[in-house]
Amino acid sequence: MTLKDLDPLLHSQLRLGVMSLLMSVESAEFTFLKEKTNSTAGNLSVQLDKLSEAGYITIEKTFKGKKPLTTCKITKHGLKAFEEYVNTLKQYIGK
Amino acid sequence: MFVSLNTDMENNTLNPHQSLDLITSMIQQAKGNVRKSSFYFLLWGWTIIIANLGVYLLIAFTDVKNPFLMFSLTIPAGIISGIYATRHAKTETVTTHLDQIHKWVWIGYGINCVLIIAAGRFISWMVNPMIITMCALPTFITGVILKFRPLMLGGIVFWTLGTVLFFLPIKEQFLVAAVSIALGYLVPGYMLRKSEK
Repeated sequence: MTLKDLDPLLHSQLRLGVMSLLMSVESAEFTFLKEKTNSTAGNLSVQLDKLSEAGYITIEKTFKGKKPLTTCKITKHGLKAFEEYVNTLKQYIGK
Repeated sequence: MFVSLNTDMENNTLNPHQSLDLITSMIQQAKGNVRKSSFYFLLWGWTIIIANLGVYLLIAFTDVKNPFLMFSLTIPAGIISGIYATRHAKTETVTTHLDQIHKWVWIGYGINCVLIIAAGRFISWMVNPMIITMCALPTFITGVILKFRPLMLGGIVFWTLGTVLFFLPIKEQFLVAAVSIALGYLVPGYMLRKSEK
């Protein structure tokens, strides 16, 4: 079974994990995503940048006291891409 | 089944079933993150009870000109709520849609209260019955959001006693309003606090 039609940006464990989390919440901090996906900070950071470059999520960097704070939100574009991914997935599973 | 994310995530190929499992698992992880807070119920419960009882006692036993000034207690309570909410928000790493709904239902209720108090003389000062009846909705909804039945019952108490209030003389309204707040806010509030521990 080939999965060529699945959005390659979403068809990766960590990015799909992040998108699924952000789908379900209003916004989430970096630490929350890191904990829930059980990933390393370095890798998560790289994958978040990729999603952000594609316009799937927005990343806001602020400060909580003196600590830097990264908050992520899914965009409309990201939500649409996620829905399309799930629909394609359904077709594969339905086969 | 949950696919471990510790492996090489970039090159790890997912099959459709793994993708679906991953999505389901992550959505499950994000669920159930609704903030619980008994703080507001206890703070506002005591504030409104003291204000109502204060007005009742002042009317019953003194000839103070404006006993309703007891309700200015709500101003410091509002400030304390604001400070608490800001501090609390700083410790949260995630905000769910339900948190947002929860927050805005109560802010909306607060706006309604201010409008009703401001329009008091146009509604024959039936402020307490209006505020208590309206209080039923956010309390009940909070109960639904938190899946916490005592708060849903609290909402029902407000609907019931709020309706009763309309038929009482103004002076007695303060007494019954205090009772309804004790039953609708404080009792579920303390039970919620117990469940948070």
